[in-house]
Amino acid sequence: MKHAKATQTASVMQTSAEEALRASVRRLRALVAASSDIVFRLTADGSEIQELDGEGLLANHSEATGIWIERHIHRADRAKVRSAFEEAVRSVSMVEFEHSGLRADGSVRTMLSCVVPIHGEDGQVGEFIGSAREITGRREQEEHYRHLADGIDQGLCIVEVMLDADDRATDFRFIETNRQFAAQTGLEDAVGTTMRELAPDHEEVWLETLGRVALTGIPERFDGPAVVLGKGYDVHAFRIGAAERRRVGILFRAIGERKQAELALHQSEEKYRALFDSMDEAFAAVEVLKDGDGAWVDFRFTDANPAFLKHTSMNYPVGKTATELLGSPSVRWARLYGQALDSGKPMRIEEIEPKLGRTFDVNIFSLDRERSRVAVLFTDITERKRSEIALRKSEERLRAIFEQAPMAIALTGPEGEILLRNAMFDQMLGRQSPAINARSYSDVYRGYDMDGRPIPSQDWPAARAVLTAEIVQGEVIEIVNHRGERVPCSFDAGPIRDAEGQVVGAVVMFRDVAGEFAARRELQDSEARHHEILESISDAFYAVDSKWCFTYVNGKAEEMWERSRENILGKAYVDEFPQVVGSDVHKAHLRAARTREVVRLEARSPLSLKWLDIAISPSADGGLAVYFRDISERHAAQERQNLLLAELQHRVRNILSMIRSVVRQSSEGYSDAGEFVAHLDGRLAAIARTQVLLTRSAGAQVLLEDLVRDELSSQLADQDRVRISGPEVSLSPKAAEVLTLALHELATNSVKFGALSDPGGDLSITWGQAPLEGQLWLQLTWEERCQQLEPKPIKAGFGTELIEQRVPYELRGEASLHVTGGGVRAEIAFPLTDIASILETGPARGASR
Amino acid sequence: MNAPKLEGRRILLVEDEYFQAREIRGYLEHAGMIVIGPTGYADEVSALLAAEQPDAALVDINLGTGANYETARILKDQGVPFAFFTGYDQAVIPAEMGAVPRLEKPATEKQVIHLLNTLI
Repeated sequence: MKHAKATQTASVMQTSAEEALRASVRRLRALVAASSDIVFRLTADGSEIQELDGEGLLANHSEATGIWIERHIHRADRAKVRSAFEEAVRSVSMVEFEHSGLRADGSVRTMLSCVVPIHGEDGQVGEFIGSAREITGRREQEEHYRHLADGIDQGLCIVEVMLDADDRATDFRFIETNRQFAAQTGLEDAVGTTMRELAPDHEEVWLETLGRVALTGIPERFDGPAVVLGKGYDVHAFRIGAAERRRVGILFRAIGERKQAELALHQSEEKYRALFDSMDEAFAAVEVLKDGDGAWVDFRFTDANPAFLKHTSMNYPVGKTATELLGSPSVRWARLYGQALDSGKPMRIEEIEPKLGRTFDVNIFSLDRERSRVAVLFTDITERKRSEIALRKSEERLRAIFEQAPMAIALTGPEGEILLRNAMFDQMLGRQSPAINARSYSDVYRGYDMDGRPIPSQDWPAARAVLTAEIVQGEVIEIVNHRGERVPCSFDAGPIRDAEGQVVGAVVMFRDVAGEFAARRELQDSEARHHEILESISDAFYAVDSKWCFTYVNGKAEEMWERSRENILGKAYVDEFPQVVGSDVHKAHLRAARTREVVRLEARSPLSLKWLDIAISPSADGGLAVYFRDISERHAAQERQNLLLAELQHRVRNILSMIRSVVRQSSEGYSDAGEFVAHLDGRLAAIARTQVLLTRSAGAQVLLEDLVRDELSSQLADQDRVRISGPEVSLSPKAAEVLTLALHELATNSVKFGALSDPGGDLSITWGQAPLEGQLWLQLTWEERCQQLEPKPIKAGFGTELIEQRVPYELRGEASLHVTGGGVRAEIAFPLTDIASILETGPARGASR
Repeated sequence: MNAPKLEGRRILLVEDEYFQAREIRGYLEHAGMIVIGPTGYADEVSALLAAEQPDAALVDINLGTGANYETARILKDQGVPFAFFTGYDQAVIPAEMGAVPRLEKPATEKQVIHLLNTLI
C-alpha cells in the first residue's frame, strides 16, 4: 500500500476481495442456516465465543463471552476440550473431538465438535469457526453394534424397560434383536412387542434384574429361567445409553450351550481371559502415568474383566485414564499403584468406597515395571463385612443368652473338661474349681439319681455326651447345690462334633425343677387319692377314652363283671362286652357321648341281668366316666312295695265294701234309729277289734281265748259269771274275723236279753278240737243259763245269719242257734284251715298273699 | 232297676265275703235274676257250672288266698260273659284278662245292674 498504483490496484483488489468475502460470508451464513449443526465463532486464542447458533440445542447468543467452556462443556471434559483447542491453535489445523456437552436445560449429550482455524490476510489465524453435532444416538448405535459384534454367537436384544412410579420394572419392550435371538428363543417377531404380551408368566427375575440394570447402570449377569421356552439362559444385561432412556442390552445364551462354549474356551489360548472374565474378583491392569515432575498422577486401564465393571459400576474403561473416566485425577490410587511398581511388592488394602457405600479388599501387584503396568485385583467384601458384623452381633446375642438363660449351661472340651460355664451354673453349683475331665466329675459335683443312688463320674449327662456321644434329654438328677441342699434338676446334654464328626466336646444344660417336681408329686398324690376313692366306693366305676377303650376299672366293677381289670384295660368296651350292643345301657353311653351331658338311668344289665343305677358322665378327654351299682334289691323292694300298695288298696276297698254291706244289711228289721246305731256300732267295733288283733304282728295267729275275752270285756260283761274253757287254739285270720262277729252277736244278745242280763245267770264258752274227714275241726259251744229271767227267743235276722249262715259260707263249717229252757245255746264248728282275712292290713305274711 | 232283659237270667256269683255276697245277691234277685251260688270257694265253681249254665258271672278275684284267675279262665273257656268284682286296680289284672269288665268295690246296686246289662 505504499505505492499509488499499487494502492489503486490494491484498492481494486481490495474491493473485489471484499466482495468475494461478503459473498463468501453470505454463502457461509446460508450454509450455517441450512445446516442442522451448531455453528460458532471463536476468537483466535479460543478465549471468547463471538457468536453461536444453538440449533435449539444450545442457547443462541451473539455477544462475546469468555465462559463458553463452563457454559457448554461438561465438567469432566473441559480439560479435554481445552487441550484439543490448544492443539488446534498450535497446529493451525482442523481438529475434531468428542466430548460431553451441556444442553441449555443442563442435560448431558455426547457431542462431536470440529473447529477450523480461519486465517487472516497476515497469514495468522484470525478466528475459529466451529461446528458441533449431537452424536448421542450415534454413539449408542455404535455401542449396540460393538456388542452385537462381540456377542454375535449369542442371543442379543435391546429392550426398553418400563418402570412404574416407584421405579419398579413392570414390563419391557423389545427394541432390537439379532438373529441369534430368534434361534435361541424361537421368537421370530419380538421387536415392538413386550415381554408381558409374549409371555405373561415370564419369570420375575428378568424384570427385577433388568429394572435394576436400567436404573443403576451396573451390568449384571444372571441365570435367567424361561419356563415358557423350556430353557434357562445365562444372561448378561447392561444399560445402553443415558439412564432416562431405560434401555438395556441383553446378551444371553442357553445354559447348556454356555457350558460347551466354556469347555471349548478352556482349551483355547484364551482360557486365562475366560478365567478373568468369570471370576468374581475384579481384575484390571493399568498403566501408571507420571506427570512432568515424575510423580505418579494418573493411570490408564489396559484391561478389565466383567467383575471389575460390576464392582466399580464403571463403563468399559479400557483405553481410558482415571481422569477421563472419573472427571478428575485419582491421585491416591495412582500413588498406590506407583508405590507397588516402585517397591515391586504386592500390596493389600481394605478400601471403603464412600460413594458406592461398599468395601473392597484390594490386591495390587506389579506386572511389568518397564511399561509401568500394575494389576489390581479386588473383591467386594461389603457383604462379608456385613456378615462379620452380623456374626459378631449374633455372637453377642448368643453370649447374652448364654449368660442370661434361666438355666445352667456349660461347654466342655474333648475330655469333658469344663471350658465355659454361665452365671447360673456357678449359682447352682457354687464357684468351685471345675472338674478336670469327665472321669472326675463326681470328685467335684455330687448328685443322686431318682432312686437316691449317687451318680458316678461317667454317668453325669455331660460325661455320657462326651464319652459315648449320647444325647440326654430331660433326665432328672438331684444335684447337691453349694449350700448342700438337694435340688432336682432336669438335664439336657449332647456332644459337639467337628466337621469330620469327631466329638470334640459337649454342651450340658440343667435347670431347677423342684417346683415342677412338687407339682408332679402332688398330681401323683392326687391321682393316688383319686384311685383310692374309686377303689373304696361301693359303686362300680369304669372310664373309657374317646375310642371307648377302658382306661380305668375299679375293684367293684371287676367284682360285678367277674372280670379282672388286667384283661379289660386298653380294650374296647363293645369288644369286651358284645352283649351290650343295642341295649338301653349302650344307648345311654351313646347319648352321653353325643350330647356331652350326664345321662342317668336305671336299667337291667345286659351282662348280669341285674338292675343297675347307672350314671354316665362325659370326661374332659372325650371319653366317658361311668358309675353303676346293683339296685336289684332296691328294685325288688320297689316292686314289692308296688304290689303291697295294690294289695292294700284292694283290701281297703274290700273293707269299705264290707262295711257298706254291713251297714245296709244291719238296718233290716229296725225301726228305732237309736237301737240300729247302737247295734251297728257294736258290730263295727267288733270288726275293728279283729283288725287290731290281726295286725298286731306279721302273720299273727289269734288265740281263741284272747278273742273270746276281748269280746266279753268289750261288752263290760262280768267275767266271773263266765266259764271259759278249752285248749289253746290259734285261729286263722279269716276264722278270727268270722268268729269275732258271731260271738259279738251272741254276747250282745246275752247282755240285752240273756244270761248276762240276769243277775244270777251264767255263761260257759267251751271248745275242743277233733279230726274229721282228714281235717282238724274246732267245736265251740256257747251255753247260757238264766236264773231269774225267762229266756227270750232270738229274732231271726241279720244277727242270726251272721252265726248260722256266715260260718258255713265263709269257713265251710256248721253253726246252730237254739234257745233252750236255760237260755241260748249256740254250737259253732269249722275246720282249722289257714284262710286270710281282708282285715289283715299289716305286713304281708308271704307269697301266698 | 226294672230291666226286663235281665229278668230270669242266671247269674253266677263268686264272692268269698258273706256280707257282700249277700248284698249283691239281694240286688240281683231284686231285679228278677236267679243267682247261681254264691260261693266263696273256687273249687265249687266247676260243680256249679256243671249243674247249671249261667248267662253271666260276677267274680271276685281274691277269694282269701290271693289273686286267682282260675275261675275267670274256666268262664272264658266256656264262653260265659263275666265281670270282675274287685278292689284291685286295673293295673294289677294280667294282660290276658285286660278286656274283662271290672266293677270296682264298693259298688252300688245301680252300678251292678248297669254292668250286667252290658254283659248280657
